Amino acid sequence: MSSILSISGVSKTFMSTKALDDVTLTVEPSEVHALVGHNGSGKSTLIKILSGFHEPDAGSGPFVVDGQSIAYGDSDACHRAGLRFIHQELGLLDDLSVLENLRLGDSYETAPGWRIRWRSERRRAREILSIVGLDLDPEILVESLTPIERTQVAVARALQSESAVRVLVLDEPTATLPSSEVDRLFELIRRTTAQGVGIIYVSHRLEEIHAISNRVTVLREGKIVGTGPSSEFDNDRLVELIVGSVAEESAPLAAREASRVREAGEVLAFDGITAGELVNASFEVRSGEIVGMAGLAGSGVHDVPAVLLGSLDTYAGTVRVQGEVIDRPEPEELRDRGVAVLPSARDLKGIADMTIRENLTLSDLKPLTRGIKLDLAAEKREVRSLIKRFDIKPAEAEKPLGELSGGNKQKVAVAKWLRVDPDLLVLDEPTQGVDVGAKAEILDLVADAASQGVAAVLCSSDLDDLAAICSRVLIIRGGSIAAELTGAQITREAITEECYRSSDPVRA
Amino acid sequence: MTSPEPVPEGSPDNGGQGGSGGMMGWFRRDEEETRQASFFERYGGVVLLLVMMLIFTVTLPGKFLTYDNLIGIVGNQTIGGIVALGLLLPLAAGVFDISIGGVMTLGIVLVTWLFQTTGGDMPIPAAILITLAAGVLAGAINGVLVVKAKVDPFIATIGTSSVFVGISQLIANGETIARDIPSAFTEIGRAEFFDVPVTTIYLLVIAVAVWYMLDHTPFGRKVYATGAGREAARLSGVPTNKIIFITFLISATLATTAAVVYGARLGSGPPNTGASYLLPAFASAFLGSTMIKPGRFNVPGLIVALFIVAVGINGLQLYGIPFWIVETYQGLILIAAVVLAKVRTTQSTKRAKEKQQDMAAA
Repeated sequence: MSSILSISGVSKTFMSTKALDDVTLTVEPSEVHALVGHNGSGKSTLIKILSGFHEPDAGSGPFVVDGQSIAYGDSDACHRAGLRFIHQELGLLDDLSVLENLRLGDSYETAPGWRIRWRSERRRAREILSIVGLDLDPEILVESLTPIERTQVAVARALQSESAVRVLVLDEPTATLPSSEVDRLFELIRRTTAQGVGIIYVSHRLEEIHAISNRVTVLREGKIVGTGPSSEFDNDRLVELIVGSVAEESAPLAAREASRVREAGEVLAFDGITAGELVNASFEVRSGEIVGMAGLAGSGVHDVPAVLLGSLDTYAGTVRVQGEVIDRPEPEELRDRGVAVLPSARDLKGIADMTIRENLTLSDLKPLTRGIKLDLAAEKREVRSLIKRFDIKPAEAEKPLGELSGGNKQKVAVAKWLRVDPDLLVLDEPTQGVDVGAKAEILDLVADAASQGVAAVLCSSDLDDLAAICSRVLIIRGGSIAAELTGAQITREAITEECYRSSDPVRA
Repeated sequence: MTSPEPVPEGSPDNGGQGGSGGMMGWFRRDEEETRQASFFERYGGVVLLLVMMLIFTVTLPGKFLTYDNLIGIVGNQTIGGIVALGLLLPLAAGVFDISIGGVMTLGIVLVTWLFQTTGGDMPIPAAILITLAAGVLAGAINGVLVVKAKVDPFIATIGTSSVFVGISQLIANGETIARDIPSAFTEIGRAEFFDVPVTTIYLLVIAVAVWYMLDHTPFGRKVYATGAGREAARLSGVPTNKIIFITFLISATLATTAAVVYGARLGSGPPNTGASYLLPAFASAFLGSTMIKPGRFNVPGLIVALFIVAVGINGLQLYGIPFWIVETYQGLILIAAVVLAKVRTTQSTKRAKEKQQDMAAA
């Protein structure tokens, strides 16, 4: 039986990183093929190549769908060939009706004079919805649907087609579904595969993979490290493949052991916080600690910095900084209380159109202020020494921040905040998109600060970072702290295992 | 002026792997390039102004290059200049204040009406203070709408502008206010020191004050930061809401100041004069942002832009060009300025991306 989709020998290089290295993937008709890999493994790059968004490097192998060769980098061609993609966000418009969403990007059936034939449109919509087992009024607005209904509408939209749909790619489809609805999704998947459609199922929920997929492929650091029937890969084996060989205990940096603590006071506490994906999350951070926070996408690990930055509404619980309850956290207030938060979004780390100098001093201009005047000469002097101390390249204070590499931008952000002498540094994905050299420098900076009593919270999907400098790692699952690893327990494998461990059973 | 898009998405940044001899040579060459491009970008406007003046001097002998004409040009720009200087603050903070015309109208009507109503008895400082207070209040209304109610600044200030004009119509009752304006008050607008109109001095003082505020105070730095990247600035600890609120206060206050000077100079309060100051203020502010300190709304650039506009109009008028050319000319300047700024931004983003790729390849 020939495959319905086959992509071989695909490599993709961005600047100097190899995101994919000689990857081959085949999907059979009616097969559910699971695709698994940790953050940065190349999963999303592969999907983007399949959808025509990226072109792989020259010399990559053929891309064949149902016997037909497809050109890379042509999303129309992929669509015509019968590939459909449903991303985590589903891509539905809440303010429009189900019918309007089905027709999104399409044209309506019209009578002469551009009049839409609503009755026949409604009939058509009902027929399409029945394919996915959904029976509701197509005029309902999508925002009133339940999560599983939204997923069903998204799938219906993908499957409705004049030409045959060959492969459906589902990217983390259960991320927004309550566990009780997952079996409805599985039923939908079975219906779909019964028609010969192949499914690529991207997920990190290992128990789901065993419940629904026929074959599984594991990616790590851009390479395929395992592929075959799902029955041959139990959870332990999958985790092993996702993480890599059991790492030798990485040499502990200065702060890994109990550090010279300033006063072992509580610097930060979340008490029953419900915000974003977090549900009743509680934890404490004491001075001199480096606490790591790990969790898969959607677990809520990145909502911790978001709450502190005032980007998320908190529905319950309190945040305490140095023992005092903070009602509506704002970066300015937190700075005054000794807390610095570095966001993960690339364009929020600093102001691209301002110079390195202006960025470095922005978080606290008071020390450079005499009366109402900003002492520009003193600023220049201070910036020169900061650039040297943090080894920022290019070492030109007047260069706009936007011209720096990701790693140097991050170093500027770290320098900017260490400059205000904080008691706590919260770092959200500090080494994402940063080259190897700068990564080590940044971790050293954090470890160094910790050895002088500065506490740090490291929210990261980079297992090496966490294992390298954290004295404690909190695993966030399902919105709250599910596990804690300390000291020697902190290994890449242990962290990954805890992240992938499931809290709720899946009814297959 | 900020680039509307952040540094381009797509591939993850992966940067320099450390310096080498080759890198240093690349840096040196680049600095030269930057300096060269900079000079033309920075002072092109000044050159243009001088060229214009030269052309007018030669082609309009005895008409252009006379003391009276030149002083007239400067004198005509002072009031618009004060309004434009006020506008720099919200623009630098990244928000539009369309209400400056309406605030100015209100100011003119209010200050003159205060005299007319009291039969000329109201003490001049009182009248001025009351008017300025009204201006601050107007700015506060704008500020609250934008910062607290989170209304889009453009829409909010268009709305408040109409309200302010409406209030001035209520006060003026459809007529030009001209009775009982004390001569001591008009002196404020008409006095001359050594043949230099006092309004020019006002402009100079306010220009220096605004320049100092923007370039030499922490407040100014925070204003620029808010404009260059509001969320990134907020995350760095800048109180962006407070900053934006204050810029609205300043903009309205300076528009009101211009109104008081205008009322004093004219000696009366015609209805809805402020509207004609709106476009020139924006045109000079935007054109000014492409000069001297390109990419940022700045005072020296604004002054040069003001004169490019003023000299241009003066020259055209001396040629005897029809009246409608004035509006057209100002509109064209505004468009040209925005296009210029956009081209600069695209070029610098392209350069930034190329630099990143160079560094990765190194």
